[in-house]
Amino acid sequence: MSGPSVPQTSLRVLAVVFALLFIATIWPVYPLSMLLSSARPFILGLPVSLVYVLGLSLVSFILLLAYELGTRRGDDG
Amino acid sequence: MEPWVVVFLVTVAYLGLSLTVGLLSGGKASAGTEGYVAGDRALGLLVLYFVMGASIFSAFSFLGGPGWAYSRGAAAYYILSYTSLGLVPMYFFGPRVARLGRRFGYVTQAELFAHRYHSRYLSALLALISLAAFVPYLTLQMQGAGYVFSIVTEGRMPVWAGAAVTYAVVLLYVFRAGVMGIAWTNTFQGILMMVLAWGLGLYLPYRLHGGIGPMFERLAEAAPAMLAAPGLGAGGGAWTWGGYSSAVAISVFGFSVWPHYFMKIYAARSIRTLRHTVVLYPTFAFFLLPILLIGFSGVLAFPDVTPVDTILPTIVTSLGLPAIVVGLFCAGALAASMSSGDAIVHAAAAVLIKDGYRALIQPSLGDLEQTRLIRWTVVAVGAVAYYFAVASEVSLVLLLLLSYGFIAQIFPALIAALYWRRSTPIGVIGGLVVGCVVTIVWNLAPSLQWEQIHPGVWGLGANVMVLVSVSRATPRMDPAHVEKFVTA
Repeated sequence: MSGPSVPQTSLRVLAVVFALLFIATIWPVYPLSMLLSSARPFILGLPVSLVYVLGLSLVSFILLLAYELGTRRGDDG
Repeated sequence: MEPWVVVFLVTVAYLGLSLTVGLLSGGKASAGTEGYVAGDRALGLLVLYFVMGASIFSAFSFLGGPGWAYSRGAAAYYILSYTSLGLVPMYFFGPRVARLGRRFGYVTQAELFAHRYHSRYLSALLALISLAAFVPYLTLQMQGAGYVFSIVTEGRMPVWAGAAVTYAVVLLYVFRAGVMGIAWTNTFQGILMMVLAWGLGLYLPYRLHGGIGPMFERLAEAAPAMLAAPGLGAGGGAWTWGGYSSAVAISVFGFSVWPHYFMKIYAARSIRTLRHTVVLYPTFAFFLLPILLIGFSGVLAFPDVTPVDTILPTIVTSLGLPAIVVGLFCAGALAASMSSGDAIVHAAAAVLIKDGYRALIQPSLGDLEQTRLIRWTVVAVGAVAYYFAVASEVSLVLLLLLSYGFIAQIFPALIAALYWRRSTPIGVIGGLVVGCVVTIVWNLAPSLQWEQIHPGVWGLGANVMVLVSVSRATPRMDPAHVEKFVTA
């Protein structure tokens, strides 16, 4: 395994994005709007409060996947 | 044949299959600690994904998750949040830890800290914190397994016997095959649990309410407070946002530094494998969703079930399902218990010998001798947890509440070790000790608590303050030595 080759700046940006994503799961962002933390409206049969949490999980997965696919690395040994 | 006999036979068949998979996996690793503890650093993506994932499908998730949704509604969403974000920090620090592990031969978490800070006392402190968190968790997994057998046999088999049989199987394959046995049994168990979770998660709302949508519609009419975040507290009143948010926070900070997760970094075949595992990990939140749906399905159909953690077995055994389906459910519940228990007992033994005994008492201990001791310590740790599970009157609830609070204290120390050149051994030890003490004090003194914020959060605050201030007040470490870690 050689040393890290990914640009540290892009990794830091990713870290900031995930810090924001983390904040979005907790107070004060999650309860900011009744639209996010209440039972209604229903989306695909699920309460919006649950859809919001599941949506953040999906965003988290897509972000990591996109970053992983978009970076070429020399540290994969 | 009586239904309970069919259920019992399916459960025993599952145990036999787990034992076979576990024992057959052992021959693939070398004889030393690198083979027994880190699988010769050769675990591929599929196995690593299931090892990490199956560990979160603990007895708490499989039985407690539905219990939370059933009794506290939207409060259970916190489980989904921390599952999707909990391993993300490992995407950042994991590759660095893996490189250091290969370069210096680490197989445990504390070995990295002890080397970085030249401190065997730090190693022993981390071993102590890890064990204090591990034993209550392991004990609960054993109790969960015992209850499953008791339900399966309609009370004919006592809890102590069910726990003994299940964990005899676990100890056998962990003793013989180490991390390779855990890896392959967890893959088998993980697939079983996913299939069962989604099967029951879709079927039960359909059977009881005509579907997931109608179930939530009825629930929103009858008990709207359950579906509005942050859900209900333990007493049935509204939970506070402080309680919900701090539960997410402490779980996210603690998740990736649990020693039995952290040690799997060393077991990855490559850094790419490790990164890909972390990338895929948030998908486990979607596998936990049906677990919560099961709990929601019972709210209106089975009111007043106590204890709430029995809602899933209550529903499954009340619907007149075929005995083989009930048996598969019981196998799934055992898989949840075993897939966490095996990783914990294995990590606890490795930590005790490598980070405690070797660091403090016998530094010259040879590699093969360490492996031999770790194997027997697996049995000893299992015996201690079994004693607490079936014989001790000591309440584990407090220790369990403290577990995540304790483990989360390792997070600032790890960040400092890998990213902050100025951190010093005394600063890190001081931060860990103060963080744990504050967590304990805030747990024991309800008058200090505010907005139901998790005591571990106050511990983290104190930890960081002490770590930074004491590190700045104590002499720098050798820059050449520190550079090996912060630029790895």
